Amino acid sequence: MQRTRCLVLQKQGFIVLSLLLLVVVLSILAQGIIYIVKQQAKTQQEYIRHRQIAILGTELLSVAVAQDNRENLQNQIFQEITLYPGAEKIVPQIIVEKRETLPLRAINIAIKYKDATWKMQQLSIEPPGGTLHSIYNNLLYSDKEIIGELPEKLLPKGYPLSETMPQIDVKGYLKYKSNPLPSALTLQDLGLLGRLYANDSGSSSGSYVIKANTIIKGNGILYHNNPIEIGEGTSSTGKLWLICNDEIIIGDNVNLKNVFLYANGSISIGRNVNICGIIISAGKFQVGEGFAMRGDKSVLEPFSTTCYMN
Amino acid sequence: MNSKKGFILLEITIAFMLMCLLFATFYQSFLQMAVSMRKIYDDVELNRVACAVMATVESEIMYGSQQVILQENKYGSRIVCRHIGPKRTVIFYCSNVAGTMQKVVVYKSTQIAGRPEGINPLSSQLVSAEKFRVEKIDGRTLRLEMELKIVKTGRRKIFIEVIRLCNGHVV
Repeated sequence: MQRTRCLVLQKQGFIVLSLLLLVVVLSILAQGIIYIVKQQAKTQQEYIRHRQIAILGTELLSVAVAQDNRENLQNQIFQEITLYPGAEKIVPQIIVEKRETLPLRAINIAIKYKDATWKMQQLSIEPPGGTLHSIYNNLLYSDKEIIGELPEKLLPKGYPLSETMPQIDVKGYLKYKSNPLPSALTLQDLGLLGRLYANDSGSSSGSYVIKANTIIKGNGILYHNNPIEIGEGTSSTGKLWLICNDEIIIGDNVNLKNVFLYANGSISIGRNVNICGIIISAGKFQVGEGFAMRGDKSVLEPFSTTCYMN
Repeated sequence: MNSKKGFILLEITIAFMLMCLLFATFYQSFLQMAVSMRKIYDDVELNRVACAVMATVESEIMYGSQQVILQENKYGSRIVCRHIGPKRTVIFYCSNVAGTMQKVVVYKSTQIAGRPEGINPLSSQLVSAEKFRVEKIDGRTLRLEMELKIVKTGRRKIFIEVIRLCNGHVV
């Protein structure tokens, strides 16, 4: 009697154990599937979210820029937006920054998502002091000594000048740079991307040198605190602003079109140089033989950078 | 002592047999489960490849292109992106993998003036691009439709994205 009872108990043990094994195997499979699906859903959600934020930011920026052209745009905080899937909430903001001294307008769209803030930016930059500044009535301006032969029509109005040009603070450009000054390789591979280029104040101790025979393509503003040197044989094709808080040295046989040269120091130009644009120097202006210049005030029109994510 | 050890072995064997019996009884369900797992795995792979392709195409077009030109080739559309940097052109297109006729993958060709062209595949050879079609919605918007297929199992899926150009226009 006791033996039979023992066998029944053992049989129950077989069934329980086999079912347990089966449940373990099935649960491992189910866990695997759930894990894969969850991971996939998470990845998809992040991908969709990033696209949503990028598209929203871009559209808001284009609307903000258009509105700013019509009227004076102010800072705005939009209503909370719920993004699906995930029902996550974001609050887009329009931040308008103005620098009257440069002058410059920066339109930013900031969207905070999780721990990071997505920032899309577009700048509208006028020449230092503003397009309407009296120095821009001249095609070429230097309030100190002009060394070399220049046609009379290029000389500043009322030359030799009795007043000196007020030093305009151009260091503010550093805050709005999107990229460091392009290397020779970047200029070779990409050209300029319609942005404001400057080096961090810590890394801008030396001169910025554009090596000989470089072809600068594309539009851009290059700002440097220290001297800018342009190697011989260099040429440019797009709209180029070279703004320097020091001196600008241009080598022989350089050909720059659509260029705005601004230096808070002197400007020195080599032989057989051809320039189309405007030259402003707060120091002395020295020019080599064979210099040809065609004034073009269209380069002074405000420079609108491309829209980019900062 | 010996009897006890034998008993455990017997118990495990019988349990294993019972498990096999249960497995055989519910064979269809298990098979369905395995098929579903395979489908999930394929979908994950298709989504992964689609995300990689779409993200690359979108990042190039959205901020980096000042002009996008749409062309056609044997396998669908060719997207020619003239970069804001005037020396760089990127082309997205489909073509068959060298040496095979069936496997078609999405390629990215980067051309920099004065340098040899660089071509990289964006999708793996396990996945075939059955359709790669781009339509112009307006001067600044594109609709990209892409159908991907797992070569081994034939599982396929269509992906559609709308891409806006921030700094350029569509020709």
